[in-house]
Amino acid sequence: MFFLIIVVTAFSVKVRTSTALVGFGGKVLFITVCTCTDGALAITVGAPTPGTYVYTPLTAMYSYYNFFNPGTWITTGFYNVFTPFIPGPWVLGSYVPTTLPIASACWIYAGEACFPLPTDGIITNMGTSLEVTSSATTYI
Amino acid sequence: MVGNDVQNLQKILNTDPETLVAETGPGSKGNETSYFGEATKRALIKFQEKYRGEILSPIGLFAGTGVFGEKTREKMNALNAVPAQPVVQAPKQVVAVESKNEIPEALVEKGDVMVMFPSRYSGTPGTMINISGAGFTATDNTIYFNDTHAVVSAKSWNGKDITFKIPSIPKGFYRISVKNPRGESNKDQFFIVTDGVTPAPQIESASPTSATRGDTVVIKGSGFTQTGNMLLTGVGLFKDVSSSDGTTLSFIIPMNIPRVTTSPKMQKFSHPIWIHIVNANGVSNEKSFIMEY
Repeated sequence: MFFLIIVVTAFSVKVRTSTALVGFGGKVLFITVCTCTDGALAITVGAPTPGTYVYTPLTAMYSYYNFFNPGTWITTGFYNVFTPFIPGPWVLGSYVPTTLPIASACWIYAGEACFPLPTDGIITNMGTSLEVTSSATTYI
Repeated sequence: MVGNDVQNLQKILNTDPETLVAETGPGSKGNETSYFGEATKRALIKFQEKYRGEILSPIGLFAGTGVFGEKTREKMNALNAVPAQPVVQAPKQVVAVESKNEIPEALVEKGDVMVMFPSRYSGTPGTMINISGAGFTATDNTIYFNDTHAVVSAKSWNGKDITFKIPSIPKGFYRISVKNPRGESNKDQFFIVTDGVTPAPQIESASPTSATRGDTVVIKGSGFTQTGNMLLTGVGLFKDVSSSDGTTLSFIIPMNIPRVTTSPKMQKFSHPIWIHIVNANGVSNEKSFIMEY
């Protein structure tokens, strides 16, 4: 069963061939905690370059370190997905495209084993906006 | 970086004999390509090292990297910006200027105009800043400060960045947005025009270093105003926070922050939460504490 899921997943995502850095940017939609990969978070962003990109402890962060906001997270596994879908801050950076899901830098625990989360790639550097607008996370 | 971005980058590098991508053939002046290869990378490294003081030194580097990052982009924009004409006008006058330069609608590619964030959030009039975003047009972007002031005819060499000087407008908190023939951007970003005299808030410490729901976080520093401090944190936005002594602020981590479900592979999850303070005198530096979920 585990093998089958891996195979199905492998053919259901886009395969990229480039190894060059690619720019990405958009509003953070939600964040997935990679429960089998220490320190990794999968950040799903919207337009203008929608996708899911993996933050790791090696990601170079620039001001304003603001991507991890309440209202923009959290999913921690297939069995407990929580996505409030309140857009968070803007992020802008570069990533190295992932060629196969098996090479994913984000693995999550689901039931009895760890599975690779299909993502677009690994973030090398990233900056964020400062948010002063999200009423969902405002405390007066 | 792909396609036209690379071609534009090569064109800029080829304007300086010291940073030519190639002397002849692909990549040379007039033969710029959309391929970011070794020649482009070498030329970009030369550019970064030529302007080492502004691109590399601020981030602790000595040798060029060949990576087209924020500092490189800012410098390139500054060099290639047509002399900024920060015309500050009332919106009605701006409309008049726009109509003079009007592009026939059929020739305008419609698309989302987005303002992601400025390179800095506060400064005096005359400060040069860069706005990162998408959907900017080459020559006719109008940058609004609230609905009361605007910089017209701002240029973007790549559709993603606009570099301009903060105009001479009164001190205050302004929402910034961009309007051009493609449309009008979001208005969720801001800029604080300061007087350059009153010190901006500074955070010296945030304690405890590790906290969870319901805990009080105390921030020590300077430049906090008696009222109207805004605390931007990874656990929420706290508005109009008071500081009786100008050196202390505090907030309570809300109880309603969602819990992270752990797994056998991850028994505990924690993450740094960053804090910034915004008030009428500017935006502070950042400090963090570890949030235990």
